[in-house]
Amino acid sequence: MSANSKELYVANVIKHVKFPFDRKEIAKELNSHIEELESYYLETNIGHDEAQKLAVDEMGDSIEIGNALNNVHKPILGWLWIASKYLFIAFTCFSIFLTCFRTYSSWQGSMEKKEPTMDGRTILQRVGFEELGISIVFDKTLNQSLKLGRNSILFERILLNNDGTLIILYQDLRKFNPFGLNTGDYPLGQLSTIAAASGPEIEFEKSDINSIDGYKLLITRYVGNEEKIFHFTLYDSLNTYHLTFKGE
Amino acid sequence: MRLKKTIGYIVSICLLGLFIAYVSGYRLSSDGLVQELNRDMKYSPSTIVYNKSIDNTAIVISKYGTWIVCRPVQKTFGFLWRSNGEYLEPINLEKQDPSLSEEEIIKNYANQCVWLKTPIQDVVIRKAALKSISIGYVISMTSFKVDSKYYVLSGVQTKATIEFDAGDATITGVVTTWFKMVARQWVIETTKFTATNVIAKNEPLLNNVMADYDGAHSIYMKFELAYFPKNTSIVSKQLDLDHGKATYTIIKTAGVGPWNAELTYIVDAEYVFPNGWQYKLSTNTQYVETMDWSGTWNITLVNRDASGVQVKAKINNMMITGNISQKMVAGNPTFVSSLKATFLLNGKTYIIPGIADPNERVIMSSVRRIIFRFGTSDNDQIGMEYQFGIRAGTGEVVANYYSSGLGFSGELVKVK
Repeated sequence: MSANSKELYVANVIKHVKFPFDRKEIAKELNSHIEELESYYLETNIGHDEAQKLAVDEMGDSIEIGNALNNVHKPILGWLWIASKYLFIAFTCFSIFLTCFRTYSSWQGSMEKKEPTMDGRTILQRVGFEELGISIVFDKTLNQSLKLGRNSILFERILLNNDGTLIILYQDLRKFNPFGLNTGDYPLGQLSTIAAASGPEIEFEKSDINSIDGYKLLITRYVGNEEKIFHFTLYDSLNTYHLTFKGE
Repeated sequence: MRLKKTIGYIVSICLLGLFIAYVSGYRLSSDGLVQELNRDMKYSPSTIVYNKSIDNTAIVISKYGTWIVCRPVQKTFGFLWRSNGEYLEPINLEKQDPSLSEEEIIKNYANQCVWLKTPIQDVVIRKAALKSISIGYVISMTSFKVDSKYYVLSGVQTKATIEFDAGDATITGVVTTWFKMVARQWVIETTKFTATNVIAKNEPLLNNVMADYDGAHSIYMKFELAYFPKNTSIVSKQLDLDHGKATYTIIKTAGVGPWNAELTYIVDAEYVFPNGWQYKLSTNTQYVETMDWSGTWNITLVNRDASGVQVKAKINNMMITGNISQKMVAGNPTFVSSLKATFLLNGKTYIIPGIADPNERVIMSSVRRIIFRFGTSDNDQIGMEYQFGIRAGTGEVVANYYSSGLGFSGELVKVK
């Protein structure tokens, strides 16, 4: 009965506290106070039930105490506090994830990939040329690079086919910058031309084919495939860059 | 205590939000965003030469060297700017119309850029192309390629090359369409198809080629060929069906006895979409009319003397050799005559045309109307005419003796 009286008192008090997350703490605090008073009365040789009753009575009116506690534990601030706390945790986690992801992506983009190990025939298969009966005249590793501002283009491999199609595999290497803008690929195919040693400059027909082992492709059709020296030219708005690709 | 913590959390959340936005590509300034985009594309340093906000999009044009590029960037959350990667193809200021100032070029370029946020799709242009041709003519479209999209402030002009099967021909042409934006959709304002090449599958129907055209009719209406049934035949043709062209050389002929006429003309046929084969008469026409006068005649010419008494002059065995032809080439008539008449009159033998006497000559008004002059007097002439009969395909030679301008019929009998 007396235990019930103490619990009833605490329940009556905290039901006036509107912010639910504080009720448990308040109940604990109230119980602690009641137990202190109860101990005091027990020391004066009063029975246990009587001591608890006196302790509860001394605590005061449960409604007044409840309203006073509600005024201290404001629900708006309480909710704001809870929400900001969890949002902070979520934002922190997402920021860590995003930072890791962008760092990894930027690191990947700045890392030079290994030379594609697949044979030329597989490359022709991947670009859909093999089914047209096209075969390779020469397949040469270049490993030449072009520095463009902060970034650089690495030309890895050149393939000339018997129908005159020319395929160049290259990498667009970006400087490691995890917080930079992701603006897509450098429009190399639109800005560059290629010419055989004595031939005219021609533009690349395709430069948007999916990459092969991280390498992008430039493809054009060449008339007269006897030449094995090609002059690659990149026209920037201010500069012109030249490279010579030797097939043999 | 709780309040302080809450404020601390909120401040931290704002800072983290800005960090996440930054890492995700949002920036506080549209100019700064564009310059950073340029830098990332290796075009740096660049300067901002134009920045105008329309709705929540800023049209930003930056300059790098002599090149300018437009990037529309979007405002988000009311204060952050973000790019979806779009940009208008850069242009070189030095290669623009020299009569325009740099400001004008930039303004024109900005107009094009305005529409970049709602670019016109190729499928819309394709629909417009079919509409311009009138769908009924297109059996199947064999190829379609958008060549250009020219954006101005009032809309966009597109040009596309289309090739389609029109049944009896394969047509290639350019569709030029003006679009304007209505209720956030591109609608056709005007569209026009211009055929650039036609590959005809079959040559024109020969009956159509040989039909009388106004042009051909007007040629032989000038001559007597018009009045006779004509035989028409195609003597040669040159076909260039890969360009929808054909050229035919046609001859129309007619003849009555010794008189014959021949018209040679050229018809240029061209397949014009959508009307089909169209025919045009070449100016290179030739008309030849020939009269064979060979024969021997006995002629009695009737006249009256000064007192009104009828006088008859008789010529026996007047022999004529040769023929006369009239040729009309490119509108210029020429007579070619090999006529020679030999006859005896009043004890004198005449050979016309004479060699010594210029009065002894042949006067031709047409191939079938000739006058043999043999003296200085008005009466000194024998007129002969080949008259067509009323019945088709018949005719006869008659003689006239002219006196003071008044003609009297004479009698003429062909001996052989």
